[in-house]
Amino acid sequence: MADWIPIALGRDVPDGVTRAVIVDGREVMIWRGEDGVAHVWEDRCPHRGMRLSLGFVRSNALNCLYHGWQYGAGANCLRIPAHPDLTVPPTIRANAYAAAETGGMVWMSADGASPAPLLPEATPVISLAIEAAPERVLAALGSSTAHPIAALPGAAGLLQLGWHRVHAAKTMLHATGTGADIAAATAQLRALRQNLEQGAAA
Amino acid sequence: MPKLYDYVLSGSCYKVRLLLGMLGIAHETQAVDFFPGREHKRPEFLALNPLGQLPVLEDDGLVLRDAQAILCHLANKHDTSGNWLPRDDRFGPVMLWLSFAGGELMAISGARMIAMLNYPGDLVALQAKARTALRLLDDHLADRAQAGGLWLVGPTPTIADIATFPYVALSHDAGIGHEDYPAINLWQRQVRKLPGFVGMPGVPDYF
Repeated sequence: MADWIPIALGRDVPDGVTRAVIVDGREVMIWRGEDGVAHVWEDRCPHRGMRLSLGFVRSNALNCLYHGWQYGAGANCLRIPAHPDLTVPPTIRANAYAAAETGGMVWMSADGASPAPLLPEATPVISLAIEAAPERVLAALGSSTAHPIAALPGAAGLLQLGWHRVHAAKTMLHATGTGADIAAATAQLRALRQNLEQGAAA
Repeated sequence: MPKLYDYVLSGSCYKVRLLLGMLGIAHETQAVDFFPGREHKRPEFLALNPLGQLPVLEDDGLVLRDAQAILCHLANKHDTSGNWLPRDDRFGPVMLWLSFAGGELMAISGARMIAMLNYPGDLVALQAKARTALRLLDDHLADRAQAGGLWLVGPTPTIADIATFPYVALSHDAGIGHEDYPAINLWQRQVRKLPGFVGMPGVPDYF
């Protein structure tokens, strides 16, 4: 997995919300506590493997839907409702990725070894799934998969496009703009999606 | 008192249960053994609905089939606010989404019956149709959100949201997650927050 990867627009994960994302074939989830901090974890409860994205946020903790195991911001299990008196061993943890938020996007890193990028604030436009390989999508944007962000000039203003690989044949774009006409930029990106997908089918 | 012929795992019956809950309509239900009993294909049920499909609603001697028709009937008769089935310019768009919910979106139902109950059919083809429908819905909801709207049509929830929600929420049963659909992810949370919301197996009533 590449170093830091943008996987969602921050706007699409408001406080108290969970969101499932597939990143390079891996099931990942984002949740945001009521303190506004976004977390990126493996989408799997260590108890019975339930997808944590189906769980629910209370205050600054995430609760698994299946048996209510509750995980704090540090990914350690805080509470097991079936054993209310148990002091949960610190070894029971969700699998957390390094997470950061910059340029209007939520980013993840498998190891967090390098610092997250630092981008200026930008207005969120839209996230779009495109049924085409990232290499084709980035080439159509005049960029390459070597870069986590591509710039797209257009009539709607200058867009900054983060992207992540869903799998070999699907890409998710996360568009932000500065002073962009949001509706026009959305239409421009949907036209790009249509062109790329028709090209893939041909 | 209205009587709903109901099967707990049916997303179409769930549409009706949702509106009954949100409008607070006193009603009775009669469970129909859809699977494995196939009670909906027996003569007694076919007398109520010759199509042999759930749900059916009986209300003051009226016997209605089709979840969308039942939603219209219940809103028409019981909603004093006039917002669930609006009669102004919202009427046409509400009908459009009702038709979508009973049409294109039912590909999810077909895929779910194959995945859950081993019904015969082409799962991959139905999943592709379901994804086409979900993308159309996500694009619409993204446009609505950009314009500051939370609901499919207009400033309040309507029966369009109620008809659309169940199979969207149940798409996991058909092997279709919501990863590609950020606007759907946020909209369905708004539906769950509505007063009178009820869950069903596969759709938790808290979030």
